Amino acid sequence: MDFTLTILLVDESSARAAIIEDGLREAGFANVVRLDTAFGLMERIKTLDPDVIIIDLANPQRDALEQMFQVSRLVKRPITMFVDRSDSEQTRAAIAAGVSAYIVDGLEKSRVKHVVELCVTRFHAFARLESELAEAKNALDERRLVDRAKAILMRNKNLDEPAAYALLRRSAMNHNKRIVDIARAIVDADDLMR
Amino acid sequence: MIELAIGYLPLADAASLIVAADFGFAEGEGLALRLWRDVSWANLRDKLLIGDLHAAHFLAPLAIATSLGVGNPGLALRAPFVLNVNGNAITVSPQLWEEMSKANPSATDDASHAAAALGAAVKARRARGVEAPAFASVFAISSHTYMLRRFFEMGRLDPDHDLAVAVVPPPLMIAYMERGLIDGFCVGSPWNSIAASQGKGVIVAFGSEFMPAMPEKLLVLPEQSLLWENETASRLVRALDAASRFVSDRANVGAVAERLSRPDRLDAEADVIALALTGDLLLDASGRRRSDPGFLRFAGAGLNRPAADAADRLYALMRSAGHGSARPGAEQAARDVFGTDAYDRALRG
Repeated sequence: MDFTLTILLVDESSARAAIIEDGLREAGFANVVRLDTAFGLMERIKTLDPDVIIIDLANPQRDALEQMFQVSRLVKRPITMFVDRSDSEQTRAAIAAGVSAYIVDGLEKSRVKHVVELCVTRFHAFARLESELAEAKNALDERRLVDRAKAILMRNKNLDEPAAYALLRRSAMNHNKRIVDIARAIVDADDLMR
Repeated sequence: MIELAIGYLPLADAASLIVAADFGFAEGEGLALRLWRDVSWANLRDKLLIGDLHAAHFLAPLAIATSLGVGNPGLALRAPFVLNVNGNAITVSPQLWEEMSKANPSATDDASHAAAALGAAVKARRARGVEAPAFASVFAISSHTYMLRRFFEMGRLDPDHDLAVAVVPPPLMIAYMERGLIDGFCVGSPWNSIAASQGKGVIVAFGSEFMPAMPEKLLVLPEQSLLWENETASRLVRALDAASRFVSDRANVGAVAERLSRPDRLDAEADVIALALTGDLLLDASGRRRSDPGFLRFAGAGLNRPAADAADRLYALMRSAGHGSARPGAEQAARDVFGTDAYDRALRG
């Protein structure tokens, strides 16, 4: 393993970039630099002269990196996209994970393969984390909605809490809907009546 | 219904594709278009390569370069349909505009006077020991780059030595200019109009003024696509043909601009998009206008039909910018991208 590689991470999500940087450092790569702003990418590349550039696909700056394929006098060493033709599955996995890698021309692909794999894995882990967070937030929002609907029923129909909930559940069953949908309708209607 | 995944970048010249998907033209051909909005041409190319996308809205010179393997990675592409001709403009910062109009008061007239004014402004800077203005294109291998180069030449400037052209993604152009990182740019619609309407830039030249009949975006499919075999490509061409005629009908400008403006499409103001569709552009915040019905064309006069001479012209531009290929038969490979067979097969009779 070649731990002397200089790796530049270009990621607008600083949370994700931090996770990837940690991963690379844990794996033993000491020269990792993060860049999370849209400005100064080319200047940074010129001064840093990285061996590997990792960029997230949601970053429009990818098209600026592509320029270095053609106009190599902008940088000391021309840069090419990391595509391992012997392993197109890896290219596919990287794109599916939302990441792309560029390496300086002439660098042995086997020397960076591990770096790319590690980034792909971390990108996936971050996406999973994000969707879990979104789910958790969604569940919380839904519970709040049901609580508000219960309070409205308790107030307007003079019910206690279990009775209000039972009414919600029965109504959901009768209408073949989710409890949260009925709750939303009640809350919306109540807002309208105020 | 045959479902197709097609990628695009949020630009006014994706109009025919968006209208084909959203106004029932694709449905009429038995196609359900699932449009994928992306942020970079490199992403679209890679998604075509791994098969995530069936087809894409694509820069014409980049289609040739990708087929030739200039840049990396290579993928043979075919364009059965030219989506539009022109639509780009050159915008400069208010400060550079001041220098240009001081150096040459007739800079307001047209592209050639503006180019002469830029030449004079660059020479004035040099005399003062100030560095030359910096420009930006949207992609190295693009008509935008070639238009900037031609514009510099019109101002008697050497595009290889006098001025540098960086690459900046369109949504960041205005921010780069505000920070003084660039002094001008060539970009597609509606970005020039957005800069002008916000008083952050002055439009100095339309691409249509000095490089007319420039094929701008193509609808591309990989050469190896299975869609060529079962008439699907033909259906797509017919849907785009009908949509293009709808888009270029002046009566539909309002409806098309409104559709393009939506958050899931271009996410820009409909009024500003409409300026590009009509070719009647606001040049700066003071309200100066310039009108050219050929500013951005979607249909008519056979412009949608790929043709060998367009490939030759584009490849000549690529070569002069150092974007050619040393590979033998490169000219023919460029022509293959613009093969007319698929278009003719779809629309004959």
